[in-house]
Amino acid sequence: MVDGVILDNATSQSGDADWDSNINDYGNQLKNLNPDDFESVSVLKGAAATALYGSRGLNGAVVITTKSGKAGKGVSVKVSQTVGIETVYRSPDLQNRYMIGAFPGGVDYGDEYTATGNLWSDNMSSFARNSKGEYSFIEQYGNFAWGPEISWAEGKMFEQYDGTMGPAQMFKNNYKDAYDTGVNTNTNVSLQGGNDRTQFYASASYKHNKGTTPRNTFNRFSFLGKASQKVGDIMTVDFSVNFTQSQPRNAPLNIGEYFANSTFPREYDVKRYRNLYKGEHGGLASDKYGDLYRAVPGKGLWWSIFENDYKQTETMFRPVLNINVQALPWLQLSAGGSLNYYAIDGELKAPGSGYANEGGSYSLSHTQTTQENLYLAANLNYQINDDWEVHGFLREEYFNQYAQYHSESTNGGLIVPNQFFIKNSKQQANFNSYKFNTKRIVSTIFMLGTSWKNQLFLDVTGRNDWSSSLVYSYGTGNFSYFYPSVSGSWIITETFKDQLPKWISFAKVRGSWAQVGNDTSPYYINSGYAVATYQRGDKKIYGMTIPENMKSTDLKPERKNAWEVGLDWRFIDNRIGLDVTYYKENTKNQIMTINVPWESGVKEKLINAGNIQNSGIEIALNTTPIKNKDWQWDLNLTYTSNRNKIVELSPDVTSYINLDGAANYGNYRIASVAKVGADYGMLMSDSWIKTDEKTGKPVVGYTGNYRTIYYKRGGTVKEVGSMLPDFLGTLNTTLRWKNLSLYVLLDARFGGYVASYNSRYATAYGFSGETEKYRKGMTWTSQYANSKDKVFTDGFIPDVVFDQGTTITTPAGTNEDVSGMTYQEAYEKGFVEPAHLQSAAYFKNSWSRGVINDDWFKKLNYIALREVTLSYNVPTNICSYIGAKSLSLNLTGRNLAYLLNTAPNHENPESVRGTGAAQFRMRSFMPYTASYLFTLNATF
Amino acid sequence: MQAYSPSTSFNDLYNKLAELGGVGSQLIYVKRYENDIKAAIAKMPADKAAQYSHLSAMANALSVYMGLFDTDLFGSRPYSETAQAKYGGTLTPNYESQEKLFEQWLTELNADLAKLKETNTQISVGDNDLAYGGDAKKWVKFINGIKLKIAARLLHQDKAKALKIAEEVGADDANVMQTITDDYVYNKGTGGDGGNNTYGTDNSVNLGTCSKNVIDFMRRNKDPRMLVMFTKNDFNSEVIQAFFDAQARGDNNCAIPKYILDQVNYTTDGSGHKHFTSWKGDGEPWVRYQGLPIGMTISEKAEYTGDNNYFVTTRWKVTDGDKSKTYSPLSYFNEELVRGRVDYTFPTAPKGKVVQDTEDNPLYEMTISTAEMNLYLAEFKLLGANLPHSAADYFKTGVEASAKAYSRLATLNKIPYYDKAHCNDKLDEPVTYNDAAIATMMAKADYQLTGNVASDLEKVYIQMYLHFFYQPLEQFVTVRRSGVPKVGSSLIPWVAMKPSTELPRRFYIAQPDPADKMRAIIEAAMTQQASPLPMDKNPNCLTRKECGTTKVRLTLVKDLITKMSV
Repeated sequence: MVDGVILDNATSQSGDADWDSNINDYGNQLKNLNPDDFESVSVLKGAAATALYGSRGLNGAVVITTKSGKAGKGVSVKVSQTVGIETVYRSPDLQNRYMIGAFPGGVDYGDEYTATGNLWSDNMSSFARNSKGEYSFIEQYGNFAWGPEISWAEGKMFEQYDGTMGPAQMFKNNYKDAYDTGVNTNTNVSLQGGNDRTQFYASASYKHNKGTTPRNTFNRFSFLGKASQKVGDIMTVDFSVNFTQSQPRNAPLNIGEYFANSTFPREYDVKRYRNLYKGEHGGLASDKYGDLYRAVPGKGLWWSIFENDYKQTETMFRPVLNINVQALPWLQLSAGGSLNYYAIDGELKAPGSGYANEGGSYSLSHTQTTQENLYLAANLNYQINDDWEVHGFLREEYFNQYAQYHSESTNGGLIVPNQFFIKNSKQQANFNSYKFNTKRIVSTIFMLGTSWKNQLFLDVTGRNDWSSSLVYSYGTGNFSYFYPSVSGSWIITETFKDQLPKWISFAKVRGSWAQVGNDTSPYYINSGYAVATYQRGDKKIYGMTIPENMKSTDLKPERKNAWEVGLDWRFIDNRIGLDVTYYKENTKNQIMTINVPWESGVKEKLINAGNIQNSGIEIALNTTPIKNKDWQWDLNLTYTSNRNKIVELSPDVTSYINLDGAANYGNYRIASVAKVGADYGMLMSDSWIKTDEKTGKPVVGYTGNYRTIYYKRGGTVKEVGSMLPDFLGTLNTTLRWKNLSLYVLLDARFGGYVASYNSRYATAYGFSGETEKYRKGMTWTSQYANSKDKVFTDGFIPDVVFDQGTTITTPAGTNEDVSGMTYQEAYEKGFVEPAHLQSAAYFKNSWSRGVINDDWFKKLNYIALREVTLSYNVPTNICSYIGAKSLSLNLTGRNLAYLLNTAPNHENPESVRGTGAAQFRMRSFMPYTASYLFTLNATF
Repeated sequence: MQAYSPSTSFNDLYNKLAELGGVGSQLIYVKRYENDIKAAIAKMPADKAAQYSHLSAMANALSVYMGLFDTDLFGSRPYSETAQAKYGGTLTPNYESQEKLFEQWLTELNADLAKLKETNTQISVGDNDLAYGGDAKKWVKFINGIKLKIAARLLHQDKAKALKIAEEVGADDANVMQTITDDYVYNKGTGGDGGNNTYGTDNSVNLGTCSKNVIDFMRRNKDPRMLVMFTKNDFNSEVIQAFFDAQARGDNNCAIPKYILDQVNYTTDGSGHKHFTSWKGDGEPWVRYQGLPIGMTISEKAEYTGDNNYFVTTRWKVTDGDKSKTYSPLSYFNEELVRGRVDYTFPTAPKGKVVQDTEDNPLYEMTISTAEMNLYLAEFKLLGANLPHSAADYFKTGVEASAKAYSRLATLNKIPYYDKAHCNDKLDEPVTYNDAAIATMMAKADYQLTGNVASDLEKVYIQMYLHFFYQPLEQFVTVRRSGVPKVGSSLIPWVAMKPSTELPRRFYIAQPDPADKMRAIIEAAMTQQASPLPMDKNPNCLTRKECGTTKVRLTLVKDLITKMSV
């Protein structure tokens, strides 16, 4: 909420972690706010506070108040300039010792294979040759990096990806080379001033940011003008207008994943090949046309980055008007309104990547959302006598929202290549336009409170909302809901002023109980047919489709009941402050979709369901250990621990609802679920490692083609851990000496599982740092007919038990049933040779056989060095040389390092995909990016 | 089914069959619409409702067809109570046994036939019927086709009943599809969801290379269906000359497989440089089709990786200067017959012209056809049913119709080479064919019935096997119930591969999620028909008769096992 206008902060509609490599995240409208305009930002938690903001404050509110004019002292001008850079300083762990190649048993290249077709040649010394007999990276099997150690390549020459000859080497920094150094600048100028009747504030700012991904930029221009004018004796008129225009361009693609999924092997020189992706004909180089760069890996990524161009122009316009009339000394009447207009214009140019730029596309889109607010209020403030006062208000609010979307795009390719306009579409252009988000809420709110002698405080609120989104298309619905709250606090130190020891400077306890109601998205509760049109030759055929979900015809509003208690104690002259809050909330009748058996003809049903409980504790400790004339040291800590529990779902749900992911399918085979009696965000999966009941050892199968073991999946869906952190915490400290101060912020998270796609597959394929432990093991000479007398160096005897029904072909050629035997026993009997470690690592993590293990599924603990800032307030005497009233210089570093990080392969711990509550999957193999900023603030 | 060979080798010794996603619940997609239509008709006044009786019969026929499709793989399925949730029905419909389902469906189909014979005014379905344009007479044939399919599946359970159904159908020629215009071929045009529904699937579909046994059979009998069912290999005259040229330049790695070189006429000049002159034998287009032998781990046997190279891809690569291409000598499943967005690049020399077929075509698909119905009637006649025509007549009608249907599908789906030869190869020929080619095939002995019931039956089953190449579920059902292809056959032999000589009767289904409300119902139904859950407990169970003791069985595999074992 900004100055009374509630802004929509939708969570990112980022791509699904299972199927979308790229996030395509352009954020929401909050990126268009100018932080230099903020006077204060406060977080209101607890339903009591948010009961005043209605249903959209159901989960809390961030309340931002912008700066205003100030009376007296003439006009002050503030100028602020920031310049900064961003660098990628680290990548997730990647191995740098082994070349591309297959693991034993899969070597379908190289001299021996070409002559005999035998797949068991030594993978640590085999390499493909081209038709001229030269070793060749183009011909070599590139899906895995289980090949020779790089020392084997010394002195040898290899055909490179562009056809020239050269040595083979590991490019340890190729990941970082893919990123640029980002630069950014922000300039802000503001004016503030006024007298006792008129105050004003105006600011203008410009920001330009070039990111670390090539061609990713963000520009923002923002203007804010505010004025407050006293009219007559009792009336004040406030008016403000905010205008912002921004242009995000080319959101970063998931470049990191290419280093994990074998597209960019460790021998790939980013600097050399980054620009070698075109064929002479102008499109993407391809072996279909025999282009020179046909074999350069990952061309498609560079094409997308350097040839495609997507930009958005976002416009925000927000006028706000408030009129206050002090009708009586104890009664103030006010009225006002605001408008928030937010439009996004998008344009995508994608040149064709086919032969001679065949293909390609162009699209235009426009989205605009308008929100209107009007209110009428009466505020009461009456001092009954010395001890008692009473206050309150009665308020009527009207909120209206509507939006519209248009888009067109070419279809089937561009007629004339590289000319970008919609009519240049080979097939009939696609179009889509609709109105959406039409919603209206009318509310009546009252508050009544009292306080006694500034010691005891009591407030009661009540609110009734009428929401259009709970009205069915045939006019009925449960669309009116009332919710009250009561809160009180007691300042103990006021009551026992003289009885308490001096070192207790302040003590307050507070408690509240509140109920908040909530509606749902516009039109969500309605069901209907969809129109489908088919065309055969010249004829059009019309049909309809039936939705695959069913909606209850009696949906009710959601309700949250929350209570909270807290204390705020300060000691030793406010040098130590402790703020503790404990809360418990139950949300009932959530409007949610549950899965129902498809045999019934629908897949999902929309119902009111459940009782989801949220409870936890928040502690803030603020201390100032040192404080004197020249020195001050502040040390502050916060600790939060939250537990979501599902108390009850719906009788139509057997035991759980899937929130994110899939427990028995896909790239992860893990889902976060809402399960009765468990955390919201319990993780379930069917690919936990099956263990033998008697011995507790893992149960495995054997693959004769690769002569190694693979773990058996449990097969039934079971809980495997919770994604909820045990706690989150921050520590910040400021050390000030005279005009210089140093600020350090750390924040931490402990507990809760994450699952990483790239750690899983990069380990299976041999590219990740984890694979170091899977390269070498026992050495032995094989006796199998097709690997006779070959020496292998990656053997191991796993501590496992063979599953029932496992038969093995021994080196002698006989078949043996090894059901129930340990690998050690089978080895001693001569049925098996040592298992291959490299291929075992593959099967442990592959799509079809992989199991949950700590190569990619781990509890995430991290401590981030979030910020270090050094500030200097230039002494006033020096300032006056340039005519400034004050001048400060700041040097800041952000996201500088992680002091602790348990993510698999030391991936960036903050790369979980998406901002929704149930998301735990890491998909972007993100870099570690540090920012360094220098800011100069001057006031004139 | 040994219709296709994986291109390298088998990974597992058991044919592991897994739940195939959408199969098993296709019925529900159709039944929801049928139920919506029924609900809408129920709200109409009686005179208006009567105009919709043909439409409701057509909708019901489609539901029964999809129901049959689902039970073929999974046995017991829910039917009568499905898709009712929106109309006040249950969220958890009960499963019904196959025996009961067949009874139910025969009753429903006979009622549909009666409705279609009504002559009062009906609303015109017209173009909204994608296959038949609303023509009731054709629907009568389609419904009789479903009855024959049910009868075919009943043969092992209750032969007398099956024959009776066949006699009911065959009694009147108006009940049986006679020409390919009666075939159920449909196309969804463009639009609709504009994507996968129109063009087939989104992901590429690749069943692999065709089996050598099948290609050899079709080639020696000049069966022109081979030309469109499978793809031409990459070794046309231009490519073969490119190999010769590369070898003349000193490239000793690349080599034309012997089985292809043996069909080429070439001259060798003084420096050893070979020149292509013409094709031996039948020439184009027949010479361009090559199948892959079937066997366990044959990719490691010298006889298949030496001169007669079927596996080592590095030897099929030709480099000319800085351009190189790899060619395949094998014929593959023709993806463009099931997916309209396939882009095909015609094979040319490394530095040759680039010629492509990138056109996206909305897909034409065929289900019940004249070929299918007539082949069933041939089978029933041979098994003793009293039918008006001879088995040989039904056989001839069926096989000819199959050939015509495939040529038509190839043309409608615009597969590569369908209407013209590849512009870069003067010897190339298009692959669609005319009635004269069909007649040549029909004259061959393998395509003629002799009166010997056992060998005639095998020929009928082989023809069904071939016709169903693009309806894999039908192919599976036919092989399962007939035991054909047989080991040791002179037509298309089955290759015995140790240790598995068995064919699964049913696919397993994944264990229902604990969150699935149907879990109790599904587990009861599966236990009743003795399908084990989960699969890992005993992977052999699906293939052995001793797994489970209930009477509800669709097929008796014991006979098949006897026929197939070495």
